[in-house]
Amino acid sequence: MPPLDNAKNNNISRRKFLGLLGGSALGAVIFEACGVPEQEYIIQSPVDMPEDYVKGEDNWYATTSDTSEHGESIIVRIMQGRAKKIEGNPDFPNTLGKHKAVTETEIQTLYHPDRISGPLYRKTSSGNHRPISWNEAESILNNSLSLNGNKSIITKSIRGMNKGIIDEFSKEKGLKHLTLSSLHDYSMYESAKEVFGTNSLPYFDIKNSDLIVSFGLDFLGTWGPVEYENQFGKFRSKEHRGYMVQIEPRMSLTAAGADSWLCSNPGREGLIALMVADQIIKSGKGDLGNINKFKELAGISDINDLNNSSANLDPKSVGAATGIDYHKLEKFVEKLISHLESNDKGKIIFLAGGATSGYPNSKSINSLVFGLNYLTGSVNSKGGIVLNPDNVFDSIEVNGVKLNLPVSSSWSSMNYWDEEIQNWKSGKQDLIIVRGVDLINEIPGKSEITEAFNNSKISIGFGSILNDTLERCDLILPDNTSMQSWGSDIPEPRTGYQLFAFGQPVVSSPYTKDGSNKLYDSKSFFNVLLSQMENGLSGVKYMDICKELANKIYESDSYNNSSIVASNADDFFKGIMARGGWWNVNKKSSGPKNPKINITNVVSDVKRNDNDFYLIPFKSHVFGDGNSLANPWAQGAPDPLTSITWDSWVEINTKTAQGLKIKPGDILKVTSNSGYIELPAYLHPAVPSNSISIPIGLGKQNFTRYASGRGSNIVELIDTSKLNEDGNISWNSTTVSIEKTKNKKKVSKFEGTVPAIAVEPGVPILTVGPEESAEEGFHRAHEEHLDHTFGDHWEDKKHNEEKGH
Amino acid sequence: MVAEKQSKFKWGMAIDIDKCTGCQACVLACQAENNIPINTEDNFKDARGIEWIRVERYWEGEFPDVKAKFIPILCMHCDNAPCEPVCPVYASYHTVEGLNVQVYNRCVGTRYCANGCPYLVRFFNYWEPEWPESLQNQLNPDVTVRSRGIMEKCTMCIQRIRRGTRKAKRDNNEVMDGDISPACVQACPTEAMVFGNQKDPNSKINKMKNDKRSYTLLDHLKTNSNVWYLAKIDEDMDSHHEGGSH
Repeated sequence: MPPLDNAKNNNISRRKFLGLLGGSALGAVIFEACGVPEQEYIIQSPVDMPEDYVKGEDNWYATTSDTSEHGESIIVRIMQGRAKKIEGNPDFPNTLGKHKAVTETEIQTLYHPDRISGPLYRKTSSGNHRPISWNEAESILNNSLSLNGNKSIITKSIRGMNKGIIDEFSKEKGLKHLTLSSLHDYSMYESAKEVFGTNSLPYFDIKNSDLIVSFGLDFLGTWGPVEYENQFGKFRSKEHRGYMVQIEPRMSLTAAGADSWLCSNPGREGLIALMVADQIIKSGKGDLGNINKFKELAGISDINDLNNSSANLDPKSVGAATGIDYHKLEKFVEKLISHLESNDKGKIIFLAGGATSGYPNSKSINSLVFGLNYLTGSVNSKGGIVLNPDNVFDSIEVNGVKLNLPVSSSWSSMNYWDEEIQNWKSGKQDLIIVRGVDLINEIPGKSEITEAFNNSKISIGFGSILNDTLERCDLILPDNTSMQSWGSDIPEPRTGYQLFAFGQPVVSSPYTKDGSNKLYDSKSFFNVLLSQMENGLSGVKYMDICKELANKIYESDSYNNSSIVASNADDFFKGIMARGGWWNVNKKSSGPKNPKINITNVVSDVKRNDNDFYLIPFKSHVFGDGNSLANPWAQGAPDPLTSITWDSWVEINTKTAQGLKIKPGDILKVTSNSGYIELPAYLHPAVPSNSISIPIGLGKQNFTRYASGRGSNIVELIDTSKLNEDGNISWNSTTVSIEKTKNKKKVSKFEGTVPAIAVEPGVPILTVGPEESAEEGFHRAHEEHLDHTFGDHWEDKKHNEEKGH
Repeated sequence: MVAEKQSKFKWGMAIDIDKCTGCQACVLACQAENNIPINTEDNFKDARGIEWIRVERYWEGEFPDVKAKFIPILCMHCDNAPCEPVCPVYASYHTVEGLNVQVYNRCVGTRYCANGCPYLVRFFNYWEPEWPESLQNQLNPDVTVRSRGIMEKCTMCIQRIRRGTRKAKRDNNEVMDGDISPACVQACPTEAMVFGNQKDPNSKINKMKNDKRSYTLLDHLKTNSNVWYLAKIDEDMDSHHEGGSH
């Protein structure tokens, strides 16, 4: 150490420091002039980034997705015994290595800080839940199942082996099975099966299609396996770029991605479908055989036989009746006819669902739209509707017990639910078991449902995370996520051939920091049910049934030339687990069986008072029906169209709002015949002036630290007096009034947080014509900007320049 | 630069806007892969949300002729990156494989780089990111969890690139086109995003960047971006073309 004095003497003053700095800069310049090798100047970090190091090996395992209604397969990255990342299974036909935004959030359910850590029980409905052991919990479950009164089990719509087990369990224990799904597409599924004469939803061959006409089906957003989005990418990249028309009253993500969005008044879409049929027949460009087939299946001699309205079917009249500019309809018809004429273009495919499943006559509309595929010869052909074959088996036998394997989802109609709720209210209900649905928030009439639910002698809920319904259950049983369980599914839609998805536990529960206890002491729902059974399934585990199913496939004819080649059944099962499932692309449908276009009432009209609005509920692309909202990633991901996060909102047309002096963030009271809710306004340029839209799934009181008390529940507004032809809720048939309150809030959204990186002022994204290059597009955008900015003066200046002045 | 010329790789990305549906899969995949802090309600309200890749939505036209258009924006990994020379501690630097990356343990939080970036794709941690204990299980061990006072940004998932190149070397293989994908590219359902080596003449990215629809953002700034966009196609172009708003 130098003496203190010396140290003091060595102190560098500010002036001296700047002098030295200047000197060193000068030195650097001189050094440069002496010709230092180039690489000396590469700024290389002496400290590598941590990312530069690869730490340990990872493994990827295939299993099924919890957030998918379509049996999608995922792969999970496992490191150090923890799940780190979810991706789409690159091997599996309905994912092709891709996944939806919401799929990522499953990992946050697995490690959720508010996940139910163990079984909970309360003796009285007013008491507090206390932790109990699994032995005690299963004993309570056993006793409850032996009660003699009405007993019900409620799940989401399910298929395949899961449905088979629930049916067998229900049969043995005397339970009734009900299913529940918000904003369901029930009528679309049923119509498609009837029209195409098949027992499950057909496959839509989007990528090989040349023109897609979708009546409300949001296959790029909230409905369908991710593979349909992948197909859309291929549809866009073909030599003949595909053209898409979306017809619906609210701009969904699919409408946003379409080349043309035809915004129809709610319920009037059927008229457009009739116009399409009429124009194809009248044009003389359609194939006569196809036309006759259509008429035969619909049981008509003239297309007007289907028209239950007084409207004519020419574009002008249909435009007036649907609220669409008839020029757009004429252009649409031209496009259709030119495709029929052209030899080098692919098929036209007509799709239905989404919005069209929300009307009183949804089945008729969907039936007609799907039927149009017969008119264009698009049924069971490349680029059209591809029918799915029967799967390998309808059922399998396990230890002498027959388990059905239905290929299509089961649904409970609202009529059926009404009866059930009346039973609950009458006090005759002894047991309700609920899994995977928050029925108190998903069925309209919350207070009535809550009261009826509380009437049950005992209620038992399975789930990973507490919600308003589980919280009301007497016994709460923590459920595994799909990453912790064996699983199986028959994807719907399948991809045109025989297909099974299989799941496996890929990770176990982590332990508490001191290593003494599991963080989550959960069990598989199906294993718990199986443990309660007394027939041949007693003592059987779900994994055993998966193995039995795999064995049966291995022994069947379908095994030959299928996705997995194995020398024995054990290796075959391992192969299935490695690939996430099994399929045989050679096992295709031979054609429709007894198809029928069942139409009674194509055109409906949702009545609305002059000052009222049509209410269009929708699922968010990011958080779906709301069950993912417990996860912060789902809450924090901006809604694609509004960019709103962490809240619910009401979408109202910008100009309409301005006319009503409504500003962004103003709290609006939205009132229907059924009730009212209050939400902040989002001024939306793509909402029709006669409608408002609200996302479903928010407004839950108890749903973890991230979602409790957020937003409002639109289900409270839904008018259940208007059931559709299948006895289900007509989701798009409610009208509402709106009233501006004195309150206002700053809505959490991404929009406006960054300025546009514009191509030209007012042109944020470069758009080109079909044959135009980017350079030409830039030039045009620039010219348009100058014209727009300087108007005639710019024209004069340009004219002078051209003349050489 | 000699080292850059010697490297076998020069990474880049191309994004076909005509195929982007705005679905946010890339945004969430990036958050999951790169330990990006949870964006809370207040973060968005304060315009402090951290999204290494973001999807911007623009409206064009008026109802009923209104269109929604999407564009994913991420770090352009510019060859002439304005963020690099302004960093007083060389935390922002350019790799020999053409990536613009950030050395977190050098960063002293001056935020000069973010001010210099015209694409607004650098993010400062104004607060200590909070991860509930159980959610820490999901954190990617390949990626540093950043702390308060640190600037962070897209690395094109350098950890995935390292794993890919290392695996190829271990297996005595060449890195083939499509072997390596950042999380956003892997997730993109429509395959609108493509990642690859620009030094491979047959790579898909080279074909895309030479497509007639290809352009770069803020080209006039001469940042020499390594992310190319393919313009959106409007089949009905002649019937309308109006300004947009965000």
